[in-house]
Amino acid sequence: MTEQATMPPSATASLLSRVRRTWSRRGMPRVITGATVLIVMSILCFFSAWLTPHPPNAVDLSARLQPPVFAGGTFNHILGTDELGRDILSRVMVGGRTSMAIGALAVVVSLTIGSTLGLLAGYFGRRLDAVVTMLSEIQLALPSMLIIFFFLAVIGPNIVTIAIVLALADWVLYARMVRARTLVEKTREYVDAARVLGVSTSRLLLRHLWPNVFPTIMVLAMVSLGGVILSESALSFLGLGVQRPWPSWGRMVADGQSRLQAAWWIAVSPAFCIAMVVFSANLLGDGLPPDLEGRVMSHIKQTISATAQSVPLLDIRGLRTEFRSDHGTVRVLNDVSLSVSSGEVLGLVGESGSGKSVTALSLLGLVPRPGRVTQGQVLLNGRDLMTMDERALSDLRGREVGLVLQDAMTAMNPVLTIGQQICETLRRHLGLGRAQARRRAIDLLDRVGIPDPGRRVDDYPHQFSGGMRQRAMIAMALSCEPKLLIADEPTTALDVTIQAQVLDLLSSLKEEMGMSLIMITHDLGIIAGLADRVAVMYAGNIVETGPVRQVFKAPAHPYTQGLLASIPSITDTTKSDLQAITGLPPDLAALPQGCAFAPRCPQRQRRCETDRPHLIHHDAQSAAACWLVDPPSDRAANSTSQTTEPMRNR
Amino acid sequence: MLLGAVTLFFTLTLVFVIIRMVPSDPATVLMMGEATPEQLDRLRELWGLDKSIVEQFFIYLANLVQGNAGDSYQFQRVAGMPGVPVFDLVMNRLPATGYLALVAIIFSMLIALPLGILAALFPDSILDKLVLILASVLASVPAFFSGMLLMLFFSLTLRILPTGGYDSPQSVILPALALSFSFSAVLLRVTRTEMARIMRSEFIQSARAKGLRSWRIVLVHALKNAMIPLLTIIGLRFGDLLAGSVVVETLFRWPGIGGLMIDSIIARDYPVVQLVIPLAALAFIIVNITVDVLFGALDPRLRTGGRS
Ligand SMILES: Nc1ncnc2c1ncn2[C@@H]1O[C@H](COP(=O)(O)OP(=O)(O)O)[C@@H](O)[C@H]1O
Ligand code: SF4
Ligand SMILES: [Mg+2]
Repeated sequence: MTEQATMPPSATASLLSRVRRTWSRRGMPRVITGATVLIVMSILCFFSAWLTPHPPNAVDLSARLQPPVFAGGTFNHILGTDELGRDILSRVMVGGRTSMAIGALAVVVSLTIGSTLGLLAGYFGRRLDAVVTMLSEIQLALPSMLIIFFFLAVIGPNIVTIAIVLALADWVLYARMVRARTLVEKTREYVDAARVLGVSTSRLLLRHLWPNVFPTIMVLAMVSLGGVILSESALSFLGLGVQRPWPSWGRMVADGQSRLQAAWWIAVSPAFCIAMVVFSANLLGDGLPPDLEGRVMSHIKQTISATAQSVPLLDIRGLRTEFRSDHGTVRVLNDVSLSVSSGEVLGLVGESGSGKSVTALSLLGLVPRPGRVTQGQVLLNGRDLMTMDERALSDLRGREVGLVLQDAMTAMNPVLTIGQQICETLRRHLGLGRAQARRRAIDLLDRVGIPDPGRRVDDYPHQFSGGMRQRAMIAMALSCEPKLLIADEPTTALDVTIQAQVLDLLSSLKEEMGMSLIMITHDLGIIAGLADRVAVMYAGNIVETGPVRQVFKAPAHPYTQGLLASIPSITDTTKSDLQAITGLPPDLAALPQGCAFAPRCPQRQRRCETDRPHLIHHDAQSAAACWLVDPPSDRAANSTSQTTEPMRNR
Repeated sequence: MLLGAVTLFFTLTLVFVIIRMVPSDPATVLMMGEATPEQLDRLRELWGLDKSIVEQFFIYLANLVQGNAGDSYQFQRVAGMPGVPVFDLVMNRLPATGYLALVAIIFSMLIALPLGILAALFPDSILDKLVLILASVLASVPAFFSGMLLMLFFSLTLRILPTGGYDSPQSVILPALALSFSFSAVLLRVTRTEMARIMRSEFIQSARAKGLRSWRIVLVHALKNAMIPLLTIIGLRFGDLLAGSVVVETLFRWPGIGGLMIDSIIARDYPVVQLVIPLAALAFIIVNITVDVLFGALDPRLRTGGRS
């Protein structure tokens, strides 16, 4: 009682919220179902002395082998009778008392032993910890159920021995979990503080530990309750279970087994009870994942007649991508429009989280669940990828568009060789034979500058150095000589000297093959050295685009200005009034109504907070989405009211 | 390896000591009270039970090292006659259990892999939920119950499969199925979780970006990675399979080690018990060592990673 009173409110609240979170995540209905079944069955069994419809041992030879009521029997014996005319329902209820008592007892014993040992091992560490760890390792290296069979057969079964022996199988679960949590809690500051203040540390530790471990312990307990009841029934079935005062369910099944054909209900009723209890315990502890609202798979496609003059290789128009979750829909790409001409290098920049990678994935139809493209067109050579089916798209991926990802270590399959991963692309798209593909793969590795390619082709990704791995990744993406290569931060994971080599390689290969390149990066230096044109992203929108030289010299959008200002070597030093961007990156789930950049914009105006600016061309090649930028025709008038209509989109 | 050896020795000792801790005496159990005290003494002397427990233990170890596990007590009805050598007895029964376990593992894979993969490919779909429910049901039904239902349906009603025994090639089907159900529940969950995790990984994204066919991405790129955790779990849960086989062998009168073990424990047939249980532990250890070796074959990072 006093313990309860002194428990800090924060701990109680956190315990409650943890429990609530755990439970809501697992789906309340299932938890309720599981708990209800368990509670009802426990009541029926534990109070069976008063609840059984018939005395469980009352022999009635006139009512032998009656079937259950749903198989033609009477309501007098709902689950039928056995060969002596004893009521099965009553016997099952009484037998359940034994099964459930053993289950509950075993769980309590293993929980107590396990968490105590775990707590002590975590708190005192050293020798005790070593002993506990050693014991749990040995236990895990043994077929424990077999040992349990043996133990019981030898010791002789009764409720207590069975419960204790079964408990020995599960203590490790609790011990490991509690030990790990204790180790974490022990290092928290409050423990030191308490020591200084002279408060009992162990007390404090327990109080903080409890809310952390309680939900997990409950889950473990439920899962192991199911396991224990299963094990007990197996024991009883083998004749190693409890006989006194009442046979448990497993024993009843074994007894009824011989009459399986003539009177199946004798064995099936208790067996079904076992399955029910175990299922409910599992449902309660383990739960099923929460329902997620059904996802609409269809893509909404806008058909906008393309007014094609000089068709760019890639033309993305008004691309919108959303991620749905329980908390609502997040629009990760709002309105992305881009184009890349043949042989051109487009640099795509923006801070992390602005949507660069999602743009790349969206245009290839590879947005991971639960994301989907809801709007827009992606024209590759005039064909709209958004209206293609998966098969046609896959013909195109790797063949016409290659993709290089940031970290080749995670982007390559660790269990296939570099050669296998290059060859499969070649064989898929170019229909090469095994030997041909291999020769070509070696050749490709050679071209990207990997020494001794004939040998390295059979290496696995982890055997390559970081730089070599990224070269191999490039070789893979370029194997079918695509027209467009998308490189998503291809050098971010590499160190500086290797970065330069890989960039050189990319630009020379691009020249050699005459392909286009979308270079995604947050490094403006790379853009300056490599790209022809640049597109700047902010919060899922392209906010500025134009030739690199022009954008770097005279950035039109305040965000671009801020980006450039933060890099002294590139900035024109005369614009010293511009500071690096302050404020927090935008929260895509809660973007302001007007300009997404408004909260951080030094040049914010009143309308910026209410109206969203669209991408507007301010000369033939450049565009920006900002109310400060005027279309060429209105430059003289400097009007603000006529520029709301976007020129490029729609 | 070292842990394996320690565990094995631990088991040997444990079994040896525990079985002798109980007051009941094998000679009395065997003769069922029909023998004179002199006859009982002769039996005990024959079995070496008159010596001290430490002495007995060293004799046991020394014989075991030479491949001699003693003679069975129960398969020797006449006092003074040498019993059946336990080693032969066990080796006669071992193949049946090994065969049963192997077929059960294959059945489990056949159930778990396709369903688990499908569920992982369509997360949160109706199919996924059904698969999860199936896994929960399979995990909740005791092996003797599913075995009985199978027997009731296929043997007693349809009469297409035998109720037990080891005579025809079809005999293995029902026991192996009964044994495989709870095992496949475990495999099903692991397959689903692991495949779903792997399908979200970046190398799958880049495999898709290469335009590979979906079947190749799933069956080569993803599944090969998923085999690693699957093997781990097979190794860890192999003990459950052995324990389950005791029940299933009893139910289907399968002439394996499981039935022998239960009978011998009840008959206090020390030599059999002292061989069978450590042998089960050994099998468990060997399976796990094999799993470790297979890891190397499946995961190249372990091969050159220097873990020998
Ligand atoms: N699988 C996903 N689920 C939910 N949100 C995602 C997922 N992938 C990306 N996002 C969101 O999309 C936004 C853009 O991500 P990304 O395109 O990776 O940014 P970056 O410009 O750094 O490449 C991020 O805010 C991220 O939270
Ligand atoms: S629209 Fe307004 S808030 Fe947005 S960037 Fe331009 S000036 Fe700043
Ligand atoms: Mg990114």
